[in-house]
Amino acid sequence: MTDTYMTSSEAYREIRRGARKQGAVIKAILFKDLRIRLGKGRLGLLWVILEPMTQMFVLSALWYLAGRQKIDGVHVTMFIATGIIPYMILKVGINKIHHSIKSNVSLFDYQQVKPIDALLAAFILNLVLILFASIALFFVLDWFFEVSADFPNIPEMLGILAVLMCFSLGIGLLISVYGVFYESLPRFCNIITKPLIFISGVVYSVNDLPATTREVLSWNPLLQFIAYVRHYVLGLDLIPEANFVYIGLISAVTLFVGCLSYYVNRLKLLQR
Amino acid sequence: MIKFNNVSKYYTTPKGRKYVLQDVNLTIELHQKVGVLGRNGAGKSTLMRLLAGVDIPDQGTITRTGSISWPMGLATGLQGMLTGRENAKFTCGIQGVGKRATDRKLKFVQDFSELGNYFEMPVRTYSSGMKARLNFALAMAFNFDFYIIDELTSVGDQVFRDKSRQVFEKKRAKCGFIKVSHNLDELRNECDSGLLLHAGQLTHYPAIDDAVNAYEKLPGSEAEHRKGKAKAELRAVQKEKAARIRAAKKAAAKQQPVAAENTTSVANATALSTTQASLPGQRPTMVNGKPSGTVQQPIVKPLAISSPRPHKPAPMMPRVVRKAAPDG
Repeated sequence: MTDTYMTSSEAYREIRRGARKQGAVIKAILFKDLRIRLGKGRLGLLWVILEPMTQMFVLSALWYLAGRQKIDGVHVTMFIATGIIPYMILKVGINKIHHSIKSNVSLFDYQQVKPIDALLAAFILNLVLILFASIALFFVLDWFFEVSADFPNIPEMLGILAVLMCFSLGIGLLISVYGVFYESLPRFCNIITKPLIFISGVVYSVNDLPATTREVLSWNPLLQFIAYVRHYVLGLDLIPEANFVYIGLISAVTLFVGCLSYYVNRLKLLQR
Repeated sequence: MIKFNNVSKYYTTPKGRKYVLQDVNLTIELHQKVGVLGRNGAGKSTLMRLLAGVDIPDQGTITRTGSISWPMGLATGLQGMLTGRENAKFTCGIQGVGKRATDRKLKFVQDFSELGNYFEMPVRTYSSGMKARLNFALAMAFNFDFYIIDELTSVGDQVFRDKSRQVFEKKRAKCGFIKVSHNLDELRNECDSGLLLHAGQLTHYPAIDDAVNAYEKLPGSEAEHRKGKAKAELRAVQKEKAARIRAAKKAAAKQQPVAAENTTSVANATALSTTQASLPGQRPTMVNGKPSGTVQQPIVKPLAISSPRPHKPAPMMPRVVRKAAPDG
């Protein structure tokens, strides 16, 4: 329609209506996914909560065996917990959401449902599960180990987590969109997540490394994210290489490219 | 209203583009009841997806006003892992239905689909007929201006088909539908106008009968197929007859030594063969709608002779002999 222009209030109303519609769709898909997960067995859902905890205990057990109880003045288990949560948020984007395009393909027959809704629903559902897992984690730490984080900067912490989520979503969109065309891409990315846990300072402090190694490793955005999270959650000192502009920019670019790749291929994704 | 403006849709294959639609212009007014005809692979389902707005044309634009259902097909829109009820809930969710209205719609879907206890079972355990029922019931729970039905009605049993027709009768004034079916009688009875999709061309016929007739005339269409079948059958019958006649001749030749002195039988056989040879084209033909009796007579007789009972033909002989006499 070239001859009709919308006034700004009309456009605003239109956007709001569209957002409400899309919100309803995402909500419906989210609860559907949750129902499917529950249907497969409550144990599966319990495992989602327990997985980071077991990972944390296994890794901290290694430190215990090595005779170390504190890293950077923080209890080992707490130190690892604050590393694992950001790592898991990034993992959501890398290998948790790209299945949802394929598994929801029959729903794209509904005019309202688009692939992005399925992706967002999967993303949100996984984040919510991580939230519950994190709460359980801190609870267990406080209850059994009597270690608690003091959360000196809660707004900043939420801010850095939000940026990390944008980064994760951007990567997730890229992998999901191109994973439809190149099926080996998600598999390859899945392999990458394993070493990521060791080069991102999840299990050790980068302060223990030689300065040159640290400088190289700190190009890894996840390492910086984890440093920031520890800074805001535990009050640890930032590493000298930490640069908010760097990770902010990289997140913005990733999210932009991810959205762009979706937008460019949105019609191809609908075809079977 | 649905309006196609220079719409093209193609799929790329290793041998180039395969056009499903090529420069199609079309307007379907509100509340029209349209039947879609086309052979397998002509692109009817793609057309339905375009109409429903879940697929996008490669060229041109499609303007749609009013609400349009999802393409109601056999496997569309249902999640195998979820139960019928959960699927219905999901559909209500994406249509933005409130909680109380959802309960009402769920009740309707349950009653209408007549799935009984299967309503609480995962959809992957359903038969195709049950899936079709659920899908149909789901669509009926909502009021659309257009229902897009892709070969859904052909699956249900008679009772369900009658029921679905009754529902449409009720909604008739308020809604239209676009329907793909291979049941031509169903289309003739229920639709006003027709669309024929063939080789990338979409032709709109204001009267459904014209569309059906045009469909039946398509090369390789069902009617054509039926005609071909009839021809083949006729040919087979003719062949069989010829074989029987040949066998009769052989039998007659074998009989010769047995009834050697009965020269008339030999004469009989030769006479027959000559009559056959002289009248090749006229055998089973009809002249002006009446059997050409004079010609039929000698044809029927040899068949009687051909029966493997050499002694029987005796009573017939005089008649044949009389005929053969002038020759002999």
